[in-house]
Amino acid sequence: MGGFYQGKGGGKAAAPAAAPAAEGVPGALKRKLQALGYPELGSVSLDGQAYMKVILWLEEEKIRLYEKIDRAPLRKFDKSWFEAVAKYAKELGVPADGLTEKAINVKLNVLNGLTNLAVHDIYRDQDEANQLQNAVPHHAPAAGPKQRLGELLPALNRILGTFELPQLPQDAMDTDILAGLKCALVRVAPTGAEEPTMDLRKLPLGIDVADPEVRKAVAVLRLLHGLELQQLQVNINTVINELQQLTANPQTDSRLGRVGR
Amino acid sequence: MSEIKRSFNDEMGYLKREDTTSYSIRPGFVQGMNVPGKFYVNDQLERLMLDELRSFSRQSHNAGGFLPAVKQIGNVAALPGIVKHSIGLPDIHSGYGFAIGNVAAFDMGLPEAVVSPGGVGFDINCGVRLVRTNLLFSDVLPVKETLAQSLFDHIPVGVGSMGIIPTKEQDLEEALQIGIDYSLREGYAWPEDKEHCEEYGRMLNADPGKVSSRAKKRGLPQLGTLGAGNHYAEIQVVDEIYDEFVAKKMGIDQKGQVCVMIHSGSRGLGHQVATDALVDMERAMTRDNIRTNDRQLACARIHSDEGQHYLKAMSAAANYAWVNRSSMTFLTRQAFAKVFNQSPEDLDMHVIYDVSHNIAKVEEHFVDGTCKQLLVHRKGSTRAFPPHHPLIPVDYQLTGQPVIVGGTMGTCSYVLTGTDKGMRETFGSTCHGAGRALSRNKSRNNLDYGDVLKRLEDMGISIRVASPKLIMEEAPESYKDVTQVVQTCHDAGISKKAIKLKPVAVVKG
Repeated sequence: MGGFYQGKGGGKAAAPAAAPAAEGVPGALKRKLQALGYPELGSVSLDGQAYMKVILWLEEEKIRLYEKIDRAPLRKFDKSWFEAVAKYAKELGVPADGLTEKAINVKLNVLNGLTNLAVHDIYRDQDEANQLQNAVPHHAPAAGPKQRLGELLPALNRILGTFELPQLPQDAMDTDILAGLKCALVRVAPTGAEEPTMDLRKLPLGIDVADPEVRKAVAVLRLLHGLELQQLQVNINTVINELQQLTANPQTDSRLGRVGR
Repeated sequence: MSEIKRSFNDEMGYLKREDTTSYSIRPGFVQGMNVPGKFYVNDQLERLMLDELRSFSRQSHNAGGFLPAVKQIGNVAALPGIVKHSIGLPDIHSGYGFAIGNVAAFDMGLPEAVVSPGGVGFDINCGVRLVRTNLLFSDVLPVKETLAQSLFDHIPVGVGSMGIIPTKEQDLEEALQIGIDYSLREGYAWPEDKEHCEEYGRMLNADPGKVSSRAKKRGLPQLGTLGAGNHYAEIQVVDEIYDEFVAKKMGIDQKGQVCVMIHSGSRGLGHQVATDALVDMERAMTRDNIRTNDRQLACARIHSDEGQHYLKAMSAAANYAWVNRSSMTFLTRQAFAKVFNQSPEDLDMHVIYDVSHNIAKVEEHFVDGTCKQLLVHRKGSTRAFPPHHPLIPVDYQLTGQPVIVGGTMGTCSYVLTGTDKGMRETFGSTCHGAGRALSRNKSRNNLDYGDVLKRLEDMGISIRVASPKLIMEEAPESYKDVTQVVQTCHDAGISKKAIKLKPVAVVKG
């Protein structure tokens, strides 16, 4: 289960590379907590007890890995708390190495990972109970290894970074990688509304051609020739424009004007 | 030239309806026809055309010198060197020598072939230019009056008006020589404008030395003025898009988009060039023994001194007209920029196209299967070249040349495109406007200018005119129905409808 949509968070404001530190909880993570119904959303933070509270709330209300009695170390908000949480996170498959009061990045990753897990659990429960409104494509767990597209990850993360989208972790599953690729596609090639719909058979050729295949070929040649002409025209206009910089000096003098009869 | 008087029915014996949009005129309809005639009309326009002929055949003898357009087509068919047909377009009406709306092509390879100033008209390179904007009607509506006034302030109109762009004699010489390149050099035009003019805005054979000093004197103060008569600057909105692909290529993507149409020509300069040439040519006709059916058809052999003299002067006048329209485009862009407080570039005020509808040009056409160099006279007719023609700009290679058809005050205007069929049948030509139905005198007598103004107001059209008393000559009643004219060309296949525009503000002389 580990690593589900686990990343550095995202949201428009947070550039992935420089995200966490000072800026506190990123917007995307906050929205996820809001969706889960976290009651103290306004005060959620990566610092002090606020952080401890939200982690505890996630376990008690959503994830419920431990029996009530075993949650005692998580309730004790002191120095031992971080150790307990690191152990807890590892059991859930969320990396938490080096979790301390000061390690803001790790704290953020842990919170993000646990939140994702909680969202995922709820989603799965509702899915199983057929409570989901939208027909979401059901991804059966892959039979083989869950990551066969791993080679794409570094490049994909670079693209996602460019668009300020959350990055995928190193152990992301293929389904996540595909989803990431689709996100990139949507941004690289915005909706197909402006698709050129040129019917080569209807293009005027200027000459008579009977064979439909030859017609198409002629049409393509016409279009290619058109591109060349277009470039020529652009060059001509550029030259005229440059010459105008030297010679143009348009003037008007309204005193000269006279309206006739 | 005395002709035997025939009854209307006898006359009709020479006319034959070929299909729903055209008639042919058999040689013999007037004497000496070298080629048959042809004209395009549908059922509605046919009546106007034939009524003229009917009343003509009732007259005991042709006293007033007035000839119906259909007779004029025949007389042009009798000129030396004409090829294929003398063609009448649906907006045809009687004019000086040639009917307005007549196309005639003469074989440059024949020594006897002629050029005739009457086949070009007095307003040399009169034409229409359409400028688009990225504004919508809703943007213009609140400032409509301000905008109309601003246009009126920038573009002087009327008889005897003077332009606000300072022009010296040297400027005029250069404008006559290099046409729109002058406007580009001085910065009155955008680089993209040039490509979107017929002939790229410059006739290369122009020779300002062939333009009389009298003509230049008339032209100098008038550069950048609209003139009077049927000339106008109109703010229009897109009313209908018939062909989305074509419209998009022209930068028109929705109904309600605002455009500016400018209809003007070479002013007094062109008129003087034509007048000078007519005097010149009468001499040449006697010398070369050229006979015509009508004195108004004064002409000279293309390769004679008089013929070349006229063609070079005509080209210079044509260049003047392009500079004139470019100057008015510059002023229009300024007027819009001021009212909307945005640069003309930001308002996307590109020239969609600039057509010439009074001009003679050397072109290559197929005649009976062989490519020939022809001198094509288009008087009240617009060139309409098909897709992939080498002389149309790259932007319109796939659509065919845009044809701007200006309507009359208060009606609508159209943008058409050229077709292959038009290239074969009409030397790549189509209609140019509505075409007069009533003569100017009849309009003045029958219509009241107050009524005309009132009706325009009722239609929500802002109007600024220099001389209100002349506007009944230009009232829609004085003209044929432009929609019928355009539809006939569309149905005949000599051009295709692309866009319909309707006016919201008019500035005229």
